[in-house]
Amino acid sequence: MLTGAPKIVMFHGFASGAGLFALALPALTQQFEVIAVDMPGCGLSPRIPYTPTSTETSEKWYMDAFDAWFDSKEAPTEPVTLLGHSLGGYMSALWAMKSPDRVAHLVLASPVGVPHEPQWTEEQQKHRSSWLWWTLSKLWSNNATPQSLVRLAGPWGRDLTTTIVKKRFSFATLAHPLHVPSLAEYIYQISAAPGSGEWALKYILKPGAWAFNPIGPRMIEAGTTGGFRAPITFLYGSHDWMSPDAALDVAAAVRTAGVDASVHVVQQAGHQIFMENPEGFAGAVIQAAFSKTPALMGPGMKAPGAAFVGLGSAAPAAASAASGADSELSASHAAHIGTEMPDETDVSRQAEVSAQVSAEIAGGPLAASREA
Amino acid sequence: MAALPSPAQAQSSQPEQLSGSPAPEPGSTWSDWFFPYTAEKGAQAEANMLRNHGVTTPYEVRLQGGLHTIHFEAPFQGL
Repeated sequence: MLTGAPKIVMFHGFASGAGLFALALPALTQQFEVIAVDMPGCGLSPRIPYTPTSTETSEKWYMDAFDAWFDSKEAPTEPVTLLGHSLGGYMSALWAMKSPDRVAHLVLASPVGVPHEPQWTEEQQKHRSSWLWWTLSKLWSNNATPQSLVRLAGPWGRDLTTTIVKKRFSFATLAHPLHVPSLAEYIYQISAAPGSGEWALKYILKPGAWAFNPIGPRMIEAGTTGGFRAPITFLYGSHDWMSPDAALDVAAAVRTAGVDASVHVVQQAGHQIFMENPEGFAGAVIQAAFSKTPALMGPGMKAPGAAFVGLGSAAPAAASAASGADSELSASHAAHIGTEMPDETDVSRQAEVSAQVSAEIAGGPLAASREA
Repeated sequence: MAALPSPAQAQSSQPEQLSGSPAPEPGSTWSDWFFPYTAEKGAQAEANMLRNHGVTTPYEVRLQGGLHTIHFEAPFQGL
């Protein structure tokens, strides 16, 4: 049943599923009706046999599926907050530009494929010609996805998935410890299902996750020519392996044309922002939504806490006020935060921030403003 | 609209075997053993995962426009 609450439609990333947004739900559902969707041929969506042939047809396959979802009778008819993570961000951006009237606010959480592949130096090029790189590239171009490895492992796939989950999320928030067995089983199930949407990856991204047809330039063109006018919010984790540099360029370019665009870093989080700092992630989404789409969200708000910092943003005064000393973090600093994972101190800080933001979102000013 | 594995329903279910290499069950084929995925197990795994991560918001699972969709109702009911 669709309620009167503002809608947020969320698409997950590669080798993932809608259920992984779970940790961010308690905070998000305070302000939104949350609709989390499994990408075509991924998660628990039907595994339609699919053989991609090019970047263009792969994107079209995804766009047709998005069209079918948004055209279904259960879909919200009013413009929504559309959120995509990683590959889901790439596809959400494409669909938003294709159907701008349906999107009130585009939120891209660590989207993949924003910039062009850089010009590599001679030394970097040497590294990329190594035997290891050649092997990885061959595997990539032959669709050796993580899911195919799980399938290949047959009944041992569960153990493989459990090991990866334990390693991957070993620093997960203390405020919300992950339940590894059920998380691993879920990831195992969505990975072991027959391959479908994952086959598009080699046509969307090159090895190293550089896009064949990056969304950044397309967003700049759409934003500066009036093709896409809705506010845009980019979110990255402070320990994200993706750099926000290209997003900063996109935001700066489209702001010249009057589009309300900004880039934010969620503290104590990596690429899986919504799992590693769920309250920080939800707080950033909610704050951006109130700041950029107040008519959609309702009257008034107070910043939910110091969980994220503004980067190169022209707009969110609330974000800057909330972020304290970190608000002066420069773009170049942000780009070099690096890939190191938080130590124990960081995790303690994360728990502290999470608890603070959680309390403020659950019973504080945001909830109060909603009831007003 | 698909039936919902709501948190309450999921709570009453038994946890799945989560680790170890399962032996083929009587009556199952080699293929069943080597490819243990089924859509039903996937749906149950999703419900268990949501429950075990504290999701108490009422939700509905549906196949919408050909895509598996989890629809969480917001506590908020309108201005």
